[in-house]
Amino acid sequence: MERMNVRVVDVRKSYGRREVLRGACLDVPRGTLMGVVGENGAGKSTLLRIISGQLRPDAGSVHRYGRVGYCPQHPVLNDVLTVDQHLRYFQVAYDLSTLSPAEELLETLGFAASRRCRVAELSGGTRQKLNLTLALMHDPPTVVLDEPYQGFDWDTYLRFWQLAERLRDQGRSVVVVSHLAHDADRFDRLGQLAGGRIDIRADISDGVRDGAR
Amino acid sequence: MRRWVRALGTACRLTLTGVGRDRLALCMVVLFIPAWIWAVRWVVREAEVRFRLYGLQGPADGVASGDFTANGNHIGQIVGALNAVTLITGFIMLMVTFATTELDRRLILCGFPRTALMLAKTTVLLLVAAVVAGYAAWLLCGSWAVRQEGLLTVAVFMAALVYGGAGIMLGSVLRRELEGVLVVIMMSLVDLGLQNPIMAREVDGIPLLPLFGPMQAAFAAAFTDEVPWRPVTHGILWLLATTSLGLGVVYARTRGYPRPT
Repeated sequence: MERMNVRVVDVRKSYGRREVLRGACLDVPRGTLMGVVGENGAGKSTLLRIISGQLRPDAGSVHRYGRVGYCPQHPVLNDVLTVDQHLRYFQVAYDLSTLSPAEELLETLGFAASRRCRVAELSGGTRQKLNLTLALMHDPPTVVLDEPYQGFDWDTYLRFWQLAERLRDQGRSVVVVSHLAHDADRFDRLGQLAGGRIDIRADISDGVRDGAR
Repeated sequence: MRRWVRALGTACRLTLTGVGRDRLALCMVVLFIPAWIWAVRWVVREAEVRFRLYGLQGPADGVASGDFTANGNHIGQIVGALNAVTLITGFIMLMVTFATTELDRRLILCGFPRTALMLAKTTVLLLVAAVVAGYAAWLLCGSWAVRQEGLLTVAVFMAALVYGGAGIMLGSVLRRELEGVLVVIMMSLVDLGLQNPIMAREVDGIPLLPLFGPMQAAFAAAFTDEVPWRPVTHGILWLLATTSLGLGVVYARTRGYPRPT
């Protein structure tokens, strides 16, 4: 039997009268690269925030096995602090004895030279790299990434997918919200969010094309 | 415990780094406070002004109990200094809170000790208020012979703390910086305007205003040898109310976050 790193069971969430999730269910097995697609406002970010624990569902439950690394859609950073200072903050948050994994991520994503730069001085793409690094630097069993490659150049985009596949091969569960049709082949599973529910699509390519419309 | 102390040290250091990089705020502290005090010193008349100190006996020379008179120019300088100090401390803590609210929530979600982050904000507030108030009190004491220099420093420090606490509260509750800036400006205007003896007569309800305590303590320090304990307590209550409300909002918003396993 497959071991799940995350189980989302019959989750509901409303903002005022607008019901965004209406009994969404999702199982994320170990060692899976899973895509979540859906139209704008379908509730993809809400689902990821609920999985990460940042948002409470109105009903239903989320079971997490181990820590979850969460990369929000828009970089959540402090403009006046440097890249290094952000790493030190999150080193304490994750209770890490060393920053070696974070340094490796800086090299992989190609922004090690920006370590002493303040966030205000960074380009949008580099901010997003830091945003992603902060979600991955503690090597959690599950990572949920909300459109994590916004602003990346093509090389960094490709390196991101290499990184995601490496994590999957190491037994991590990687959940990615995507809008891009050409990402389809990269996922092992694809959840299409529509009408507040998640439909796991068998034909992945069609699913992404539908979702990316 | 060791991890918590490390977290507190990191949060204090990085929050202070953020404050130190706000060049405009530092310029305001260094230049605006003396400029404002000296401008008042040049402009405001030196006529005697009557004011009331609650809980103190006034001089027996025909003036009612609790009523005092002092040089209006000196009173104007105190009010001007309180105005500058409250605006600067309020803005600094408002901006610090605004800039860090989202990141603080992310850090707490990732396992950063919430109490360490909240205590770091309070520590930075104490440090900022101490520096700004110490500087302003030093300038006032250099302007004329203040009767109790220590108490004057404490009074200005309390004023800075009350508005710094309000800055934390507004930064936690409001969604836009402009809203917070306007509220701090209006609070300070109303608070000091209604209590300024040069402009106002005694009005019922003034003791409810946030700067009632610091202002009473500042007047007592400048012009008497007494310590008005009741207003001092009043100022501390306002400080506790504003700061704890701001930090309470942070606590409430992150209360449901899962504990790291």
